[in-house]
Amino acid sequence: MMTNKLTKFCQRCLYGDDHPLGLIIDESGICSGCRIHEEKDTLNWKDRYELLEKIIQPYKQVNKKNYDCIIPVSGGMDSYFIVDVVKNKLKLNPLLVTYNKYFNTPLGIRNLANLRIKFDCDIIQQNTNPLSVKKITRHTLQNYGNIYWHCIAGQTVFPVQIACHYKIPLIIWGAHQGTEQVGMFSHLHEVEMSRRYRKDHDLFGVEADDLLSNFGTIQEKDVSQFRYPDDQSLAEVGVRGIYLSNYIRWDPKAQHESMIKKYDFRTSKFSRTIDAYDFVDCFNYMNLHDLLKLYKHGYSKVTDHVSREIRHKRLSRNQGHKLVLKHEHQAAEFSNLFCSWLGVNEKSLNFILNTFKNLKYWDHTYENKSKFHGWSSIRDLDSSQKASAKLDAQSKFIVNGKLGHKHGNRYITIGKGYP
Amino acid sequence: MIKKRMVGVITVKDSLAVQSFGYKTYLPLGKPAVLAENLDRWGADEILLNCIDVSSQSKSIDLNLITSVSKAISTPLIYSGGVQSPEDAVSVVKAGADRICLDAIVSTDIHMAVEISKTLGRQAIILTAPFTRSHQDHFWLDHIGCKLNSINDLIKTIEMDIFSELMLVDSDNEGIRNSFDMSIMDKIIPLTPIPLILFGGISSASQIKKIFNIKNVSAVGIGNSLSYKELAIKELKSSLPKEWFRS
Amino acid sequence: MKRTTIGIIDYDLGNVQSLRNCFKKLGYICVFSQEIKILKKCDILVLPGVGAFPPAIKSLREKKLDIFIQSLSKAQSLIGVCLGMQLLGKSSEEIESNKGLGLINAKTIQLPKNYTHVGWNNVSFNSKNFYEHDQKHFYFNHSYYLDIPKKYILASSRLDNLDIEVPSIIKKNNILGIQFHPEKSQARGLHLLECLLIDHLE
Repeated sequence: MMTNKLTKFCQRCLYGDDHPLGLIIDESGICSGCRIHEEKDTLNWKDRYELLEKIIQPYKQVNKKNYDCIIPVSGGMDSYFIVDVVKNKLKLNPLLVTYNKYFNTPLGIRNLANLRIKFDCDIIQQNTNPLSVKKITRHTLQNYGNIYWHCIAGQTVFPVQIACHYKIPLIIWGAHQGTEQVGMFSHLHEVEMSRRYRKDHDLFGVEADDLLSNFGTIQEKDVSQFRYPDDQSLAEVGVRGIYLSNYIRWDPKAQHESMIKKYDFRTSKFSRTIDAYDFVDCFNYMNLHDLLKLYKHGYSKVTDHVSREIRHKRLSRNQGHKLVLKHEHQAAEFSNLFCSWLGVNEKSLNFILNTFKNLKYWDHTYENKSKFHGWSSIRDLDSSQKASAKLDAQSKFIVNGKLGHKHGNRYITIGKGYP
Repeated sequence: MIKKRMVGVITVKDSLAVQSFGYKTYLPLGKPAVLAENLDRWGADEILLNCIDVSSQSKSIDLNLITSVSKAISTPLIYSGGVQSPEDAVSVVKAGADRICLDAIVSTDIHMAVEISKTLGRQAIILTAPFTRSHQDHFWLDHIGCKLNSINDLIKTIEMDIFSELMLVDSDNEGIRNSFDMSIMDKIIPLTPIPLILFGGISSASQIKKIFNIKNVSAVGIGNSLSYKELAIKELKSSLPKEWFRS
Repeated sequence: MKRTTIGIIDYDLGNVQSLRNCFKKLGYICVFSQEIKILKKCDILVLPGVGAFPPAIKSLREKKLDIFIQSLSKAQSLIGVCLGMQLLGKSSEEIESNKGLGLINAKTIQLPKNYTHVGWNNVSFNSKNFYEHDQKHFYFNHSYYLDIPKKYILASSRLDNLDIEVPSIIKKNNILGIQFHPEKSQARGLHLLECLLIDHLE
């Protein structure tokens, strides 16, 4: 919902009130995301964990004839932590499900294999045929300036489809993004997975059927894999998706570092952000996808990561701002891989990318030297406070790996075999 | 036989659908049209588009918003927020609403409310009456004029015969689950000749059971809590007597 | 095979987007116009209506659409929805006395005791052709109703509070009237509309 009004900024984190998920800044100048984050330090998390134990109890299979729950996983994000909680603490028997993003880094594939081996879990993987995935990606890139639709659509729908097919009603997710970023819900609301949230925020209003058109190339066979099960199917099985972040004090950095120690989760440096943990399984999320975010929304992932760390009191606001300035305009890497995968040349790709520069944040949409006036350039800061862009011991991220491997950087093709 | 209705309420502030808590604090939810489409698919009996910043901030009615919501649904749509003239009412209906709520205008210019009712027909007009508790008593809240009117004044307004239903809004408990103040019902029920819609702090099946056991109540409005779970309306209806709802 | 065309009459009253969506979903070509030369070419004409009788009939007269509707050929069908159904009658007492389009020998009168019929009520069909819709619920929103000879009533609804029945669907030759809003009655309404159209075209 882009309007012409000036962006108002939170006085605590770095978010502006034109955040794409919606953000409300109260009379004290503090945003809804920061207000809900305050609950992390006021709620009784012991009680909340006991609530979680009560919720999952009825799903424990007494006769062990089926899995107790489904956990959507990948080679990045909070997968290790979630599986550790579910299997080792809640003592549930999970079925892991994962969606092949195509943009797979060797590091991500390694992490995923390590996950299922270390935790000794069964895993099902969804592979949508490459022709359909490329058709869809071409369409979403040209029409919405988005290369990630198939990834998010697949990741969010495949677990639900498996829940219906295999009659495993409980799906356990990690963090609720709306709650964590913009305080869409209080932890006390115990919000659960919904098709509404997926359409509104994950898929920017575009579901599978919205991609079909009489004039386009995308057909029923291309989108059927991404279609959400209907309400009747959900009701028959009693499908329900809960978020651990409503019951466990969620701190991704601390959680990842514990998983590095205990289970050898591997990480990598990124040029466009401070975080080295979340998106190690994908060549594009922190590169091309992140660049498009900057073009369309006037800020990028580093602002999300830094705002998170500010709220956890590991960074000051000024420090965070300096870090954003350091990383935000770094070049997006691995575009050559994307181009050869999709079958476009880099010049054409850049042309398309530039058309998505939002004139609220960019001077013009021509290729070079378009002046940026996004969040980091208009945010008000306390200039009297000195800040360094250097991360200290508590704010530093552990780097123990690389996205690619010694044979070079390329997408790992699932099922092809090595090399 | 006319069935009881569950009205899905979408509260809108600055074009964003929000969770509202006592109309004082808010949390963002998303695009109103996407919430409406979802309620439509779930089988809400009516959808109320509750635009709370039109009167209070002297904004003009966002007709594009109404159109975008109405395009997404095949469920009856009620519009609330800043209708101040018959022209407003006609524009809102042309944009896609089936019924409208009158709130502020009833306090500021009752004759205009009469004209609006004549233009659209009584069936299309709902009187929205936010109430509050003060010193052990209930009052009809005029939130624009910041006044407390008596319940008697409310009854007199209803007796003008220009509304089809009365929507009582618990403005103190709005946004808090399971908290609608039922004690106002003893004052209202004996004196109100038109059916009631209750809204504000209604979320649980046990609460709705008590409410729908009152014959004069035709509908409940449910807001924030419908966004907490998948298939929320179905879950509520399945915990209540089947014969209360449409088949 | 030529697709059936539906022409929704535009007389500046109410919103017809939901009706258009329904007809589109059912596979009909749908136009929305006040131009007689366009409406003349449609197989089925739909007269929608939201609001009160006096401004509606006034608007039809000003646009000369009343004469057009009254001179409809037998080859064309006419469907009146909600207020549109009431406009088909001879007269109305809503707010003031007014003449209607006079296509059916019926008059619009107020529901007793100032009652407004709002919400989901069940519909009882007099014809076995609609057995799967019998006793199902559809959305009503009116405070006046059509007082019409029984022979034209295809379906009716009971108002328990008043102990009376009101016509919910009427039919006379090539004219159909629906008092409730099928376009606002979700999937059920769409399905009934589909059946009514098929039955009516036969």
